[in-house]
Amino acid sequence: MTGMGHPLQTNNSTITAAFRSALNHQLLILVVLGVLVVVAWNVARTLQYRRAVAAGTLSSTHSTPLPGPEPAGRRLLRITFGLLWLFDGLLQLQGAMPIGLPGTVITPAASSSPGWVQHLTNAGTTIWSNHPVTAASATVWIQVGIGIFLLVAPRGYWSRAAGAASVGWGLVVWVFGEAFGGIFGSGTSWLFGTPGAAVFYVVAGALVALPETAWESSRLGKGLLRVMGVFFVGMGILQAWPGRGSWSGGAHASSASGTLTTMVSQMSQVSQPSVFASWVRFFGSFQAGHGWLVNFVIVVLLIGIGAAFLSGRLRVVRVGVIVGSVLCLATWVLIQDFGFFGGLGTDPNSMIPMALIFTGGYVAMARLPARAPVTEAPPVSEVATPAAADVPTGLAGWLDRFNPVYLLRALLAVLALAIVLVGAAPMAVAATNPNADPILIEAANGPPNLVDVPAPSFTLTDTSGHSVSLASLNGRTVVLAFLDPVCTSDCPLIAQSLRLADEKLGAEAHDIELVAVVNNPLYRSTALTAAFDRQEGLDHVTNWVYLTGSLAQLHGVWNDYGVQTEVSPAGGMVAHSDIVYVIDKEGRTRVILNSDPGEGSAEGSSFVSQLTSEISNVVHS
Amino acid sequence: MRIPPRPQRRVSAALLLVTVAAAVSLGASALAGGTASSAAVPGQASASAGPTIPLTTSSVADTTTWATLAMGHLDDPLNTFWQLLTLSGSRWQLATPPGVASNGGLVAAAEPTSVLAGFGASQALQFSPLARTVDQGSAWQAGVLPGTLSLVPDALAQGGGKSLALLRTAGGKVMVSTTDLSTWTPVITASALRRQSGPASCHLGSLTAVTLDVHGSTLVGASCAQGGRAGLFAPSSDGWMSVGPAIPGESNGATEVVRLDQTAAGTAALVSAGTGATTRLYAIWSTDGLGPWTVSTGLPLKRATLLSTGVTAAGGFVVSTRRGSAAPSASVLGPTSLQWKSLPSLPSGTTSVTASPGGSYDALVPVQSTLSVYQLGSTGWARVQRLRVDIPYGSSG
Repeated sequence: MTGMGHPLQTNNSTITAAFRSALNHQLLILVVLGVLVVVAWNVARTLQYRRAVAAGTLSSTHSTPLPGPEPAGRRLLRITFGLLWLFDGLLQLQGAMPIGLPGTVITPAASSSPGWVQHLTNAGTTIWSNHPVTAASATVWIQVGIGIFLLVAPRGYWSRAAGAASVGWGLVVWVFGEAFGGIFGSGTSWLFGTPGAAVFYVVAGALVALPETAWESSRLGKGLLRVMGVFFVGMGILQAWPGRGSWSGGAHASSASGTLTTMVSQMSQVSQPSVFASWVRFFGSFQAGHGWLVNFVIVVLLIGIGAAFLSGRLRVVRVGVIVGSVLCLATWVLIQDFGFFGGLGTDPNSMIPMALIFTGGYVAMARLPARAPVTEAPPVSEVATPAAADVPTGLAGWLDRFNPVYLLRALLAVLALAIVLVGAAPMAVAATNPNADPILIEAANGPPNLVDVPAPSFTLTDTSGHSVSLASLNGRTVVLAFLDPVCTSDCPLIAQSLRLADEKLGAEAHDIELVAVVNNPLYRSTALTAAFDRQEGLDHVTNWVYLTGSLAQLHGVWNDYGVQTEVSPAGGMVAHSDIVYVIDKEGRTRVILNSDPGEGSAEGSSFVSQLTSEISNVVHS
Repeated sequence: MRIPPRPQRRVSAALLLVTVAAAVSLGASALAGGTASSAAVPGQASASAGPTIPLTTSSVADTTTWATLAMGHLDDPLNTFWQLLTLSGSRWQLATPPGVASNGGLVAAAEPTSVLAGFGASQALQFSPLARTVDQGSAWQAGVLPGTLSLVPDALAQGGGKSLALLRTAGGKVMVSTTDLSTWTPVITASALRRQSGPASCHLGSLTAVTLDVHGSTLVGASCAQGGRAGLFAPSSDGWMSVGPAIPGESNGATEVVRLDQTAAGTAALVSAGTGATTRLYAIWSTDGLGPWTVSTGLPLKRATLLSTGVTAAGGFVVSTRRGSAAPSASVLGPTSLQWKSLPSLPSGTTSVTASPGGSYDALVPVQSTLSVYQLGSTGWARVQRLRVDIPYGSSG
C-alpha cells in the first residue's frame, strides 16, 4: 500500500476516527441541504397557496396531473433495489471498511481470476488504498443516495435517472469490487454467488431507466424471464458438469475445493448468530451425507426453473417464480449465509437481487398497467384558450404547473442526488491524485515529527559489534532509515533506494552516511542485520551501516524518531513506519520522507529521485 | 412531470440480446474455468517421481503435539500463511512465532524441551529466520540461517545442544549450529554425498530430511533414483555411508525419504518407494538410526496426493492422502503393528491428520481464518474445537 510501510490493521484508530469524522462532516452538509429542501418546499407551497387564493382556484386541481399508477413490475424493482442500495450503504459504515475492503474483500474476490481481471481490480484497489477514508465515505453516500433516489422518484426523468445511477455505480462495484462476480475465475458456481450481486443491481437499474412505455406490454417481462431462463439452465448445466466436484459427497463428503460440500462447510464455520449457524450446520451435515442427492436436486431445480421461465406461459412461469424464490431463499440462508455474515460484508450477495429480478419479470408479464381511457377530442371551438392575463408568469407561475406531490418528490430527488454527489465529488477529485493521503502516513507513523530540530541522539551496534553513535557521525550528512531485517517486501526496496541514491550522488556521497536502524523488536541480532546486508549487497558499501541494540535501546530510538512498530499475529510481518530522515552535518533533522517504495523495483521508484534531491539540498545548504 | 415519449421497443430487444450473450459467455467462461483451483501450498518437488513431500506435518513431543499447516487463501501464495499449532491437553492453540511473514512456508522440529521453527524464503527475503521456544511458544529466541531453508518437514532437527538445518541449495546442504542459532557450519552437501562410495550406488537426487540420532550424530535422508534402498546416510570414519535398509519388493527402484525423526521407538523414517501408480509408503525403525531396521508393509498410494504426515506418540506414523477429487483418507501404523490401518473417511476439507499424546487422532480443517478440529471417537469424527486465527491478509505484497 503506497504511503505506508506495511498495511495498517483494519481497525487502525487514526483511520477509523478519520472515517467517522468525514462521515459526520458530510452528514452535516446533507442536513443543511435537507433544511434547504424543506425551506424550498415551504416557499413553493406558500406561493402556490397564495396564488390559488388570489385566483379563487384554491380547490381546483393543478395543471400538471399525476400520471397513472406506476407499472407494478417497475415499482417492485425500484423500491426493492432502492432498499437494497440503502442497506448496502449502511453496511459500508463499518469502521474496518476503509482499510479492510481491498485486502479482505476485493483482493480475495479477484484472486482466482485471470491476470487482466486482477490488473483491473488492482487499479481500483490502488485508488481505494491511497484514499481509504474518501473512498469509504464516498461509497456510503453514493449507495445511500442511489437507494433514496430510487425510493423517492417513482416516475419520469428523475426516476429514470435514478435507474441510470444504479446502472453506473452497479457496474463500478461489479468490475472493481467483485472482479466481474468471479465469472472469469475458476470454480464458479451459482450457489456461491456467480455472476455477482452487483450485476443484478445493474439489470434492475437498466430496467428502471427504460422509458415507462416499455412496461406497457408483457414483452419486457417475457424477455426478462427468457434471459433468466437461459441463465438458470446454464447454471444448471454448470452445476451438473462432471469434474467440477459438484457431485462429490458420500458418507463423509469430499474435500476438493469448490465443491458444494466445501462451500457449505466453509459457510457453516463463519461467525453468525447461533440460530443461523445451527441451520447451516444441519444442512452441512445433511449435505455431507447426501452430497450427490443435494446436487441432483439443485441441478433439476435450476434447469426446471429455467425451462419454466423460457416457456413464456404465465401459469408455468408462476410456478417457476415460486420454486425459484424458494430455492434462492434456501441458498441464501443455508449456503450464502445471508451474504454478509462472517467478515466485512458489503451486500446480501446474489440470491435476493436475483429473485427480485425474475419476480419483477413475472409481475411485468402478469400485471400490465391500466391504459388511460381514450376519449374523443373536443371540437376546436370548445377548447378554452386562456387569456393572456391568465397565463402564469415568473417563478410563482412556473410553480403553479406542478402538482404538490410531484414537487415534493422532485425536491427529494434533488436531495438524493446531492447525497450521491457529496460522496462522488470528493472521490472523483481523489481518484485523480496518485499520491496517498497524508492520513495514511499519520496512521502508520503517529503524529508527524518536527523538522529542523536537533536529531535525537543514540548509540547502537553495527554488524561487527562496534558501537556507533549519531554524535560520532557529526560532520557528515546522515540519511537515517528504519528497516526490518526479515521484511519480505518494502525494506529491501528501501535499502536499494538508499544505495541507488548514494550512487546517483557520486562524489557528494563522500560526505554522506547511510544509517539504518532495526525496526523489528524480535529479529534484531547483528547476525540478522549482517544477513540483510549480504542479501542486499550492502555489506561492501563503505558508507552504509545497519545498527541494532537491546530492545530498550531500540524502543528509545523508535520513540524519539516517532517510528511505529507493531507485531502482527499469525505469520504476519511486523507492521512499521517507512520513514527516512535526512540529518545535516550539524546534527539537525532537515527532511522527513515517506520512504514507502510502492510496488515494483527500487530502480523505477520516484523515491530514489526525491531522496537524491533532498540529500543534495541538505549537503549544499 | 413530463410523460416520456413512446418507447423504442428495440431497447428491450437489445437488452435481451446483450443479456443472453452475457449469460452464454458466462457459462462458456465458467466451463472453460474448469475445475476447482488448486492450493498454492508449498512442498518439495520429488526428484524420484515419488509423491510430493507435503510441508503439512505434525509430531508428538512428550505431552505436546506440534503441527504446521497452511491457512488463509490457499489459492493465493501471498495470502497463504503457515501456522504452527500446539495441542497440550485437549485444546489446540496458535503458536506461530511472531515477527516474520510465514507465507514462504514454516518448518518445525519439536523435542520435549523446546521447539525450533524456521521460515521459508518469501518475496525479497532470501534467507530463513529461525525461532526457538522453550515455553510452548510464549517467548521465542530468534536466529538466522545463512541461506534458505529447504521446504520439507524435517529440514530442521535439534537435540543434545545441537541444531541441524537443511538448506535449499543445489540438491541440498546440511549445516549445524552448536552455539546459538546464528552461527552455522557446513556438514555435508548433496554433491559431496554423491561422491562418497556408499551413497553413490543410489544415484542420489536431493537431500530431503535431517535428524540427530540418539548419540547426537547426524543422519541425512535423501531421494535415490535407483538401488531400492532407503536413502539414509550417516558419517563414518572414512566419509559417509549408506545406512538405509533395502525396501522389500523394490529391488532396484527409486526411493525417497519423506520423514526422518527421533521418536519413542528410536529413529523412524517414512520412505516412498517406486514411481507413479506403483509408489508405496513404508515406515522403518531402528533403535540407533544405523540398523538393523524394521520395515513395515507398503501403503499403496495409487497416484494419490500426500496431504500430510505425522508422527504418533508411540513412534508410528499417520498420513493423509487424497486421490483426485475423491474424499481424503488417512492411514496409521506402527511401530508395534507393521500393517497400515485406514481411519474412517475424513471430514470435508481436512488437510492434516495428527496424533495426540494420548493416542487419539485429530483431523484439522482450515477454512481461511477458521480452523475446525475433529476428533476420532467411537462413532466417527466429531468436531471438538473451532479456532479463529487472525490471518494477516494483504500484509505481504
